[in-house]
Amino acid sequence: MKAVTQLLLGLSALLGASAASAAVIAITGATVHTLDDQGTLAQGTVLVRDGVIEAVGTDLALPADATVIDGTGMVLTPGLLAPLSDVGLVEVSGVASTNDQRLKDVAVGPAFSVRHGVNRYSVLFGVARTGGVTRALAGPTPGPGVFAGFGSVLRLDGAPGVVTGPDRIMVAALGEPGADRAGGSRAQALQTLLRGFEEAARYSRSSDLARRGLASGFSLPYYDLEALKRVREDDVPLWVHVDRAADIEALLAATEDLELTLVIVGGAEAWRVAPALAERKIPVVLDPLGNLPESFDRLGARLDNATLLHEAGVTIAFNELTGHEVRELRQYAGNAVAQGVPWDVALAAITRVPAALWGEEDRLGRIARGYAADLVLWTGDPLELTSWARWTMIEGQIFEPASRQLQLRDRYVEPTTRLAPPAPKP
Amino acid sequence: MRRRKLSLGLAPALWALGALAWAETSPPSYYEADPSRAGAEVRGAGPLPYSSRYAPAASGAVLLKDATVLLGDGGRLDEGDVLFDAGRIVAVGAELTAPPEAEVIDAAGRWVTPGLIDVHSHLGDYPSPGVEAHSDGNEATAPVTARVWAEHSVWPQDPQFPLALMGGITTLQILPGSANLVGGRGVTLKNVPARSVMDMKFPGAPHSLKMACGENPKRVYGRRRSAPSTRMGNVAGYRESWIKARAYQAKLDEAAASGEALPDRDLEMETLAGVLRGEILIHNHCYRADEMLIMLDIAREFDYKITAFHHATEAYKIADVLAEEGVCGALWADWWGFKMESNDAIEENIALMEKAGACAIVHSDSARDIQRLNQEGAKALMAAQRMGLPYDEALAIRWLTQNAAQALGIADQTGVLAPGLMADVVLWSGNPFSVYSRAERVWIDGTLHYAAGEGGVRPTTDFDLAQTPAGRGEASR
Repeated sequence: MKAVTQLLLGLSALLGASAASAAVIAITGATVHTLDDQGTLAQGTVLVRDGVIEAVGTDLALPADATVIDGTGMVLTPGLLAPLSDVGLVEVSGVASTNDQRLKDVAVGPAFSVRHGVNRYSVLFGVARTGGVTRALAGPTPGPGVFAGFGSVLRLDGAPGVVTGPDRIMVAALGEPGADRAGGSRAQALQTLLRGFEEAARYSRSSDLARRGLASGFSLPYYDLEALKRVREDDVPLWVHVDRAADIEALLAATEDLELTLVIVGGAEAWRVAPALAERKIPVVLDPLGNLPESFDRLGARLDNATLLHEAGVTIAFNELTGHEVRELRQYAGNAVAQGVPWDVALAAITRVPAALWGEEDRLGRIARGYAADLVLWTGDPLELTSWARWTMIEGQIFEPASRQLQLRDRYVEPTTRLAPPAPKP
Repeated sequence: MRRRKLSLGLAPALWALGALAWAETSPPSYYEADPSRAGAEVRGAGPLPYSSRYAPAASGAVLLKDATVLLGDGGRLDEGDVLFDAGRIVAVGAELTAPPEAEVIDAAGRWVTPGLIDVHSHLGDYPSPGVEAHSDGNEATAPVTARVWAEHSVWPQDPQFPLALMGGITTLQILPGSANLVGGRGVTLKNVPARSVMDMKFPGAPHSLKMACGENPKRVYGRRRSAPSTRMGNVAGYRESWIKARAYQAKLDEAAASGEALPDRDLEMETLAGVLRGEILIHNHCYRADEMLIMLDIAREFDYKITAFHHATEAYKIADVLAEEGVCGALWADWWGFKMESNDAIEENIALMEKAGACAIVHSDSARDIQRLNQEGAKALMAAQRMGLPYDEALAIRWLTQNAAQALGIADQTGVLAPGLMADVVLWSGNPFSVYSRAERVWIDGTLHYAAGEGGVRPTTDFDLAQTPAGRGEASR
């Protein structure tokens, strides 16, 4: 019961690996942030069976077959979720041959889907898990066009079938990056986006026969029209990179009558448009540290953007990050708290809210009965950078801290002048 | 047009008023006010130009009472007092008595540290907005540009300077970029508002010379089909430069000995020879352990000292050597994987340097992270504690203060809260390694440059006027 370490050592020995799973696991004694109706439990118990959370409470009877982990003095949260990232698509950012998140010059627009390029053997998965991140949406970066393509939800255990949510979002770019892709004007970027949906609507209304003879009437190829048709008809959310308030306002005005589910990504000046975003129920995936006026799209950038949006009733999530950076999610949330965002709202912005934005609100992002057993046991307040993840659980499987980085650390803990293997024993 | 007419109409009257005021108050001229011009000179070429014109404002006594004080040198006081006056630390201890005129601040529950120092910044050289017209950090027109000085690119109205100040940064080194093998001179600045970079220069701080290993120079020039295009080409380029510099220095020495004419002035050589004489400190961008060891071999061949390797994501692999050679590592807490030479970066880099007894520094190289260098320190501390090393806040703050000052050659001036040193002081709302803490007040040479909150003190650059919202650097409410 007492023996967290013993248990884990035992399991590790049994499985010969750092990942461990048992059919029934009870975590007791920890402060449990459920992100659900139960709020925070001071000394909660979470019961996991076959990878799913079975019960959450304070006085739960533990089944006889449960493996018990004592979390006393520690903090349990849902696994952290990176709402938009390139994890699994990029191994070394500066090495183009390892980068599968963007197209350079192929004429595929919205039809581009990253889901076939995900590398579940990536060393980034172990680094992300060690930092408490259990899932990420792997999305495309805008390539040659205004539409970047579909992004997919990944489970970061590295097991077969890591793409659990294929093509969950469509990504596009407006503002300065959009202008770069639409001939040089922000105005044309928005028109290109609107024209895509106009053509997709017309395409939807066409008969099969007409679609087959698509020689004229459409500027987009059939596969891109099919993609935008899916966005419209299957209600795939359109995530738009846009920072400048004027561009957000233009987007809102132009899409008033379109049945699109919009999410703003970036939104450095979104605070200026907060009431309209709240009214239209448009969430913002923002960088709560993005206060630099780095471009003319961001002159209104400020450190309390998240606070102002939250107070206006806008749903906020943190944060677009590269795959290498996803372990920094909690730093963004912690800083948002320092700028006035309530603590539980900041934690939700890296757990419950991304799950909802992915359409997974019934399965991910909370510690509640029926939810996937994605949990992190922290040594302290998870938003404090001096805390660390004691372990990370994905669908009931426990991952001890383990990564290529930690192997490098352990190799060089003591000064090493010889890296040659030791002489064979006689 | 209308505005022009108006100003023409008013100008004579204003000018008369201004002239009157000028005659009455008549401060010393801008150039005569220079406090630090005396003495220094270019070897054989007259007085040193471009020396500091920084003159701290007159400041009174301040007593911070009952704070948790991290001294910067590994020491810590609980319920400690810090007294400074006339720009200098007067005393640090318990139950200090304030002079009658002192401002006394009850700092119970709050923390005090020396002003943070970032040894690797490009503020002013790569200002915001990052448009092409502002790109002044890399003279990427030749692989060796020891003749350029980063200070001559610094735009003091870069709105990023005040944001760094709000993060407790009082001193920062501005370096040229890493496109070149030898990028040019770096400069150490006080983070104060100014009309010219010369009004920010840290008085008496030595110049540095930026050098760069690895991927950047060989990529920049290799793509142009010119040298260097390989790491071996990089090394040949450094060695050829030092051969010339050695020859130039020999001519200077001969001229001094014989009384004959000095060689023609050569900006390239003046910088490199300054390194050979130990007057200019080498700050060497270098990621990989094997390349750092080669750079140390080059330093041996030409008998110069490398003060610090920057970025050095593999410093942990050679921490014993860096400790023995007395070379600092200016490091990130967690950047990794953005290019091949950063692929072996680990979170314990700083911790393992410390463990080996080497000089470890937390640096930013980022206009974002410079605003939260304390949080980068927190990450490094976490990595140390996670592996069981017994490090605490008092030790970790050295990575952002004393060790950084040492690498800049100003450790006798700042970086530690000790009597006689510059009163560069930060009052934090709590433990500076907590993500929730913020700098509440920042003093530079005893002058209050930032005070958070309503009615506070915060510098505003010209750029900020009319286009910077409240809340840029701190929550507006």
